[in-house]
Amino acid sequence: MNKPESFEENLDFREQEISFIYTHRIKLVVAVLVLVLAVGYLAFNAWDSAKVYYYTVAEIKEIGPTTEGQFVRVSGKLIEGSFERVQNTTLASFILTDGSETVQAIHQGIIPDLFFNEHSEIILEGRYTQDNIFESNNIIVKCPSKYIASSS
Amino acid sequence: MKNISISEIFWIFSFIFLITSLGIVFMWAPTDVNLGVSQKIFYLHLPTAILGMISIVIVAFLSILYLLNSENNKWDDLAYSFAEVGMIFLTIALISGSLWSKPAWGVWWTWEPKLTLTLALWFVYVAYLMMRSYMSDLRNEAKFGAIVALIGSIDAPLIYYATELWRSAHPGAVVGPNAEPGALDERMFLALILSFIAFSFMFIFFVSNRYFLRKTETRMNMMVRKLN
Repeated sequence: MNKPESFEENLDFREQEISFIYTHRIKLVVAVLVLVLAVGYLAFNAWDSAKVYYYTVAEIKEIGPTTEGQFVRVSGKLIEGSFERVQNTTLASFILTDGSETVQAIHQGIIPDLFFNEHSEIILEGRYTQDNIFESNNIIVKCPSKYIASSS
Repeated sequence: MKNISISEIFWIFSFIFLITSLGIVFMWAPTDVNLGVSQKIFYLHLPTAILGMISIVIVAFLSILYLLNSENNKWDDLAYSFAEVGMIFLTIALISGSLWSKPAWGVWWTWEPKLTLTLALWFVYVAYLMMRSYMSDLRNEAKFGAIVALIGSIDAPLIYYATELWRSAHPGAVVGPNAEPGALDERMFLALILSFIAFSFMFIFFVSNRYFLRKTETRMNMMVRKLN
């Protein structure tokens, strides 16, 4: 915009500027409102499945089977000796426990290195089926919070 | 003798400490019993994450100082420099965390609270820098930046206490007020302190250099505005 020269021109210039700011402010408010509503809607929808990162074994048993298309996480410790692999496949079955309750789980695919560590807690991502088996799609190993020097 | 500037001193200290901590981390600090060699990423991951988190709090604090005395551009220039460098450090923390998470947890990324909040902080930095670059008026730019930084700075303590507040996959705090006693082997702790000092010097070196550059930028912008 050019610099105004006379007083009248200056007034005109100010008016233009103000109306420019005004129309843009309305647009901005509308944009922010739409954004807030959209994010709010998404947050509201996601709340049920996202309020906790994982369920305990007892909780998942109480909640019952997962509805179609829904994913949940369950955390527990691997029961020693419960791990079995179907021969010549990558299908594995094992049992997780939270100390009192247990859940039978199956997983197709790679098992992380620290899965068999006795200190590890295991988080499974997947579905809890009608037959009370947890079908895992992803395994996340939660390692202990302590860092200890190995003796070697 | 040639004059050595403050920034050069930071550079030299950062270099010396980095080399020393590299030696300490890989040749003296013990290997973790569960995680093995992958735990060495910790000495990069934790210092950069802490500096990236502290940085947003500093940005918010400096922004308040600027708002209280907006005649002086010094605080705003400094806030901007901290934001840029803080974002770089948080990016390094996120990338190193992802690289560590694959061998340790089995996944590159998971939407657990600590990780999600850290990504949110990263977006706060992006928002801060983007918004400032879109504005033409320095006064407004600093004001809106301050609001973003203030909101963002709430995230830093949330990230720190995330493992306490919610169920998560991330291990609990090993340093600071929320740390469990004995969570970190003594020699590992010393190696961590050393690398933290090294990265802190690097951080200060980057910030001070960026600040001198930013000061010149601001002065130039003002001159251009006056000429117009």
